[in-house]
Amino acid sequence: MEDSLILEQFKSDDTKHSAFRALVDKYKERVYWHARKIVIDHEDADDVTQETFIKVYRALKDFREASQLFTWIYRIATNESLNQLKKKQKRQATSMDEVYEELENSIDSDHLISGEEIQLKLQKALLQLPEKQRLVFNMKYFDDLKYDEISEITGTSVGGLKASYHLAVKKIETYLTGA
Amino acid sequence: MTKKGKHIKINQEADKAYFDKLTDEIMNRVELEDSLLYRDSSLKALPFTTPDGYFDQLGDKMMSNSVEPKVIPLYANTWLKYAAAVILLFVVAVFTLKPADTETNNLLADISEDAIIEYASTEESALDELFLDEEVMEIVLDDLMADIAFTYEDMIDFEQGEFFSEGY
Repeated sequence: MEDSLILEQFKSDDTKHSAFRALVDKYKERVYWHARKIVIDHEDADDVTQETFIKVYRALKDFREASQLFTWIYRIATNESLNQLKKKQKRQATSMDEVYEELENSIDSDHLISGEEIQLKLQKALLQLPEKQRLVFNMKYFDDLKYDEISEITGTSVGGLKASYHLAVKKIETYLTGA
Repeated sequence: MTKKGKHIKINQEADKAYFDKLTDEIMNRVELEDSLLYRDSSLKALPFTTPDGYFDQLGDKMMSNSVEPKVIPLYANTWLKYAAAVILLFVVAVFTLKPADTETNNLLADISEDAIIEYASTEESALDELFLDEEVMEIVLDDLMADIAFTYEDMIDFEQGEFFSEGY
């Protein structure tokens, strides 16, 4: 269903629920994988996905720009993912560095994480990057989003994003090759 | 320089800036293409998996968590309310009213039929007033339903006084 139609049908009580269901079905996987790449753990990604759609449901009636629905949902998912990591930090009463260290360790031990050695190494390399740089890399490299879209999601200029992405690629290259 | 000439010069400068930038863009892209991340396509695959059937059930779980429970009003309209009240009164009467008291019946038998007819035709009974006034009738029925609702407290939400269905 087109985003404009989803928004239109969401306004009417008769079609509100079916419109929201269409929205969930359309974006659930993208939201989940976007969250998963940030929080790494499946249960955390599940929580983030649900929180994201709850917030989308509450705010959708006031949302007007159908062409920006996707980037708006992505922005919510991004914020929820980062919040999830902060909650983890507070719950464990540790530093964010320690949270990332724990995530890095989980890449080798989590039963819902498995792949080629270089794929696992890439995920560990990403956890070394500054948070925003990691976000930009994920969206550009894995999700293949345009810089304009990433700019809408993160609020960073296109020029800044390009610079950040190029730097991230170089750092990762160094990590992967051990150079 | 003519106006047209100045216009052409500005355009040429703008074009030059664009093409200089374009060159930088292309060189940056080429640099990316040479990196391991773009040479090894297997790196694009994420090493993350989900439990079996996760996405199939995610939609249903989302709807039950995100969407407000659909409220089914207990009374679709006033007539339905009246009908429900009559049925309930009947049920209550059948199960709670005591058998006619013989002594009371005997007392009534002592009153003449003419006296009864005169009373019914001239006096305004409280019951007549009750049924003539719809607003009062509404209040009485609401009170009655509230009493009955208390008996079935596990089925009805008190805060809103309405019956909630699961899902949407």
